[in-house]
Amino acid sequence: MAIQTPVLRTVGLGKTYTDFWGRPRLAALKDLTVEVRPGEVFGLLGPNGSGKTTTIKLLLGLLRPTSGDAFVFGCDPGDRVVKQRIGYLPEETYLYKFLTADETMSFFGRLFGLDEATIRTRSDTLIRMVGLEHARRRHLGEYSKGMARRLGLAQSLINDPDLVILDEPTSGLDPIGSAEVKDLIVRLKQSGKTVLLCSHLLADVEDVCDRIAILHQGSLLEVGSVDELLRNDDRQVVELRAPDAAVLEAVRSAAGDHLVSVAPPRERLESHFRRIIAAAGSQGTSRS
Amino acid sequence: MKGLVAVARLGLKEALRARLWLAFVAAGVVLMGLGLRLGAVDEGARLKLAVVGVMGAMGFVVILLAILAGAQQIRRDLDARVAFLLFSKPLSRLGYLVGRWLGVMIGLLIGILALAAVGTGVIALTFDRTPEPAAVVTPSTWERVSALGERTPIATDAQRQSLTGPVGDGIRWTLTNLPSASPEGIPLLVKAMVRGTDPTVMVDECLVSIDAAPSLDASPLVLTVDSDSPYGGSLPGQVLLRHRDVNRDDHRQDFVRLLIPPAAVAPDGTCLIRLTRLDARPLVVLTKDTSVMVTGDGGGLYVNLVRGGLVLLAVAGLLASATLVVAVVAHLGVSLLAGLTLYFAGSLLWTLQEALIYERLSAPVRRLMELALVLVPDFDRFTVAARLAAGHGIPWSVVGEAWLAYGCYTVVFLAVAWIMLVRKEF
Repeated sequence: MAIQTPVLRTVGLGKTYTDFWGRPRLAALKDLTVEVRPGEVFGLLGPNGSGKTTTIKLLLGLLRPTSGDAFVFGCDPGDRVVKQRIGYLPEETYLYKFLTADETMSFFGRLFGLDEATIRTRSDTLIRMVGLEHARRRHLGEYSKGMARRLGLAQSLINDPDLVILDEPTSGLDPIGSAEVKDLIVRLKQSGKTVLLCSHLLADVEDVCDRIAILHQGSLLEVGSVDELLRNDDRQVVELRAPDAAVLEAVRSAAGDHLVSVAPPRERLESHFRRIIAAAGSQGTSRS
Repeated sequence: MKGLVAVARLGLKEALRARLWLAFVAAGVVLMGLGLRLGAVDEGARLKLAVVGVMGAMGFVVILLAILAGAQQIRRDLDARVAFLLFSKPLSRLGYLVGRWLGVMIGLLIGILALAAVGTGVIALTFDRTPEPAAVVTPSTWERVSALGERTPIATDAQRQSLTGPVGDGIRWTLTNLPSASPEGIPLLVKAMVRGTDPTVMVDECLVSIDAAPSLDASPLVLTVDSDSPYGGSLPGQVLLRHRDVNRDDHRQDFVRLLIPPAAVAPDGTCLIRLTRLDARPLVVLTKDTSVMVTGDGGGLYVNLVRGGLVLLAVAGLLASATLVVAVVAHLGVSLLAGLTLYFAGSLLWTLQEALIYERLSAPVRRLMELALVLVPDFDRFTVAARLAAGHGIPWSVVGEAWLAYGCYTVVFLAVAWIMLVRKEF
């Protein structure tokens, strides 16, 4: 079986910011060694200031490393051929307010050297996908933060990238929008794309990532699959469908001193919210 | 390359959608209006002021927008971190920089075309006519000719010749590539500096004869003064030259106007013009390029305003690239200040030249000023407004010369800005 080249690979990667005189001021990233494999969703997790964005900037060639190396598709991150295969959504939405959504997509499409027909087709698809069809001819200055975020996401996919780097993709989005972004990440994975997801929202990462790396103050604390890292072999969960009192009593007596708790499972707030909003939406539709 | 074009298009779109340029264009129109309302002795002078007003307005708009637009766009991209997103795409930093510069230049070019049209229209409506700047053909060679017909070559680097000898001595210029003559003939303009040989006697005019021939073998045809000439009329076959300083070069006021008959021009467009002094008292000083010239169709006012605008655009390109350099590393205010400082420095180089001539300066200061004269671009080198006002057309060669002169600086500034942008981390 052929060994697949990692999409992203860092070896002892480090970045120290310096002052005007070149004196070290802040070690933002220290000795980071990780690999991201083709087709996986990899989460970069950590509190603010842990070095997540610095890592992304190094992987995009926007910063030069002070130590170590970074490889994207086996090449230098600054290589324009590499950038041709990357879609990137920054932490904040930096777009031109004087352009419309269509013009924004067209501009970024041209940066990738796409022809007009391809740009038009992809723009239509992506703008529809992020739910901005109704506002595609409005200037971005009139967009809400969430709308701008959705367009930012759309622009990051205009080149049909092999690697999508998403820095806090759900920031500024309502719960529905966040859930849609997570659904999108799953769809990207299903279509064979590699996704690097950077977030400090643990639930987001847990929901969609195959593997995660946890950073703290520029250092890598842990790296591995979500299941491996979160697995707790000291405990077991037993799920029962519609148990009556007798069954529950039987379980309690069988477990004896090993039992921790017996309680009905709770629905997650996000899925509950999505369900009632969807129900309200369908009621409104049927009324109208 | 596609990225460069995309950024240039973006810059143009931004320039057109931003309302800032409207204020500058409005100010330009006001300047044009002021140029039309300035009082002058006659209509000819008012027309000159109007042309200067239009060119001045174009210069005002083009220079200020060049300094402001490029720096503002780049600074905004860096401050608002849009550049962060742009450089994550396959867009080279050189492509981004040149695209930004090109976007500003295309925007300014549109402004020049529009302002030249407005200016031409306003002048035509106000004066019921537009001045017609003339294309000029200057002599390719010249030689001295004595009263006995002896010919003496003049050194190629000599720009002036004084006629002080006996009556009958003169100068012969060779004009080549003349336009095909109309039946009325080709207009010939002649002027000279005339002084007395005796300092106690005031002399400012000299009687001369001017003839033309297609070749040395052909018998020359004596030229007569055109009825449109502002001065110079005298007895048939004679021309009364009045003193005109070297700085006076208004086609309508400062030159004797004659007509070269078609028979005096060879089929290949060659014509020999001979000026012979008929009065021994005055000293006549002639120059190779500015004493004798043939004028032709210069292409109309609009075309010449556009060519003048293109010369201004070359200056604007330099200033835009210089402000880009500063904008990459400093705030917008500093960038604007740097652009304006360079413009003022380049417009006031003559003060340095005068100071070097007339002031007592210490050696280091003198060296510094000499260095500034070499390094700082001279924005007064192509006086397009004055040329147009004096009736001179702006030939494409002047436009090319300006782009060559200022383009070198532009390339250097863009290269420096590129190096700084490449070194910049985001």
